[in-house]
Amino acid sequence: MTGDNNVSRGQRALLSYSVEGLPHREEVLLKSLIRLLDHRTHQNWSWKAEQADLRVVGEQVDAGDPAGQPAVPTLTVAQVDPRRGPFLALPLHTNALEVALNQLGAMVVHARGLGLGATETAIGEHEEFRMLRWPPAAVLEAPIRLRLATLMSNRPASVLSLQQRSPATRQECADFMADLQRAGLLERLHAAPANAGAPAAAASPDSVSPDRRPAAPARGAVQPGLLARIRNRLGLQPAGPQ
Amino acid sequence: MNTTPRLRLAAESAIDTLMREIKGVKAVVISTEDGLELAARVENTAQVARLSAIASSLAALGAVAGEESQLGQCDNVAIEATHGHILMLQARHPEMTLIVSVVTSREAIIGQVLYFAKQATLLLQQA
Amino acid sequence: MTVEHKILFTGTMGAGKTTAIGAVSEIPPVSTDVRNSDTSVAKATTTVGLDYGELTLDNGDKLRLYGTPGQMRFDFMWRILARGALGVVILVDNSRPDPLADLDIYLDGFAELIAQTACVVAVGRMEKHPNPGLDAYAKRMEDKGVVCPVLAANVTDARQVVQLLELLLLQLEA
Repeated sequence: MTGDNNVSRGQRALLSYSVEGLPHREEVLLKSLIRLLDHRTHQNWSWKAEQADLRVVGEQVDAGDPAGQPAVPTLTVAQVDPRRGPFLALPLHTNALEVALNQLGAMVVHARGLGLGATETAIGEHEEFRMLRWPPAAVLEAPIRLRLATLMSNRPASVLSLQQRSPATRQECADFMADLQRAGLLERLHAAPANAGAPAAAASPDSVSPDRRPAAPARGAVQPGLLARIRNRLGLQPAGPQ
Repeated sequence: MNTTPRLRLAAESAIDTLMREIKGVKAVVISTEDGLELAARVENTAQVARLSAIASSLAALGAVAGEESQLGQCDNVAIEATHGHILMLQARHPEMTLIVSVVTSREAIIGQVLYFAKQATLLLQQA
Repeated sequence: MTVEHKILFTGTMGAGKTTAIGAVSEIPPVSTDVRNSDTSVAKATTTVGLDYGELTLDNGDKLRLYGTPGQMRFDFMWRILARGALGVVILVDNSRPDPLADLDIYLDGFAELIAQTACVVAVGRMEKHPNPGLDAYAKRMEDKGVVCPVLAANVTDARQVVQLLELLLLQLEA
């Protein structure tokens, strides 16, 4: 997987940034400016509380990454340049911010391509995941992703099961899952025995949020062929891979 | 809800009459077409918390049934239950259409209930 | 509980339930609209029973589309109509004062149906009223343990209503 991978998909990389040690007013301004710049930056940036791709820090904050990840770039925002790496002067200017984000974004994407960067666990094709929440627009940028996300909303899925149930390619499914993971929207499940009719499998013990969805009581099966007939009547393509 | 004091008074008066004249009456509720209670009087054990909304749905469905069967406007809907009756009548006042719901025990005589309820509804329409 | 051939549309007064059904139904929708006496909402009529539309499938079966009344006082109708439904489309009007609170009402009111079947949330009037944004809806649903598609939609456009129905079908298909 090369650093070009994200761009060649025809979609921008989804990167995250965290903010530490900035005065509240500057933090709010920074976040607003980044949102405003979204149509111009080469990558899509969204805020994350921790373990982000980029750390934006005030001058008081230690530029060394507490999690001990040397490949995570740090951008210092302050009045005076402490000369310890990437720096943006206050008051914030949109142009300078845009340039800094693009430069650092390119670094992050490159580092990803080399297998470095913020914690990222590889996703096995058969591994089942639960989607924690409907994804934001940035993750849903391609139309096929609306379908993939919908397929994941009702029940857990793996890259392979998504591919089997949709016209998406394996790569599209893998990329989608990877972006969901980066956005913190995936939760790993125990490898449940393959059983198409079973209710959602139990979440793994180290998962952050237990499945709070009400347990679905048993329900009569949908009449075979009904859904296909409805599709047909609505003028929709048949379901599944095409 | 914008109802004139005149209409409210007429509604209260209709309820007075019905509570007085109908043997076995348990409750009388007068509500708007869209299910909001305008006035009500209830004997001890009766519960009418949602009767206004339910009556409005039933009246509307009664109207659809009447139209589909080409029988014209639906004037009232009658429910016969194990322990009593509910009669829901449309009161078409120029200001707004109201629904008069009368809940009675089994000891009420349906003919009598219908008679008094219709009378009261007519008066209400003309108020 | 046998699954019937029906799909529900719910949402607040003015969110577009009757319109959505009208956009795809073969028959002009049957409606039980009466005069709205609630002066806080600028809408002349409101559904008090149900809206009804239909589509005929190729084997002659009918797919029935039901619109529910929006106000909470009609939640008994919600329960009646939810029985055996394939799924529910929740229509939200983003021009209202607190659309997320509106959404809560239907997530709660149809909780069992949503847990057992499928749900799609369609947010209307977003072009002129962009807030709350779709992500806020997603988070609100997450709080209630619901994950389902939420998207902007204009239900006067039949194609968009069909898309909502397709998203329901996708969730139901094995």
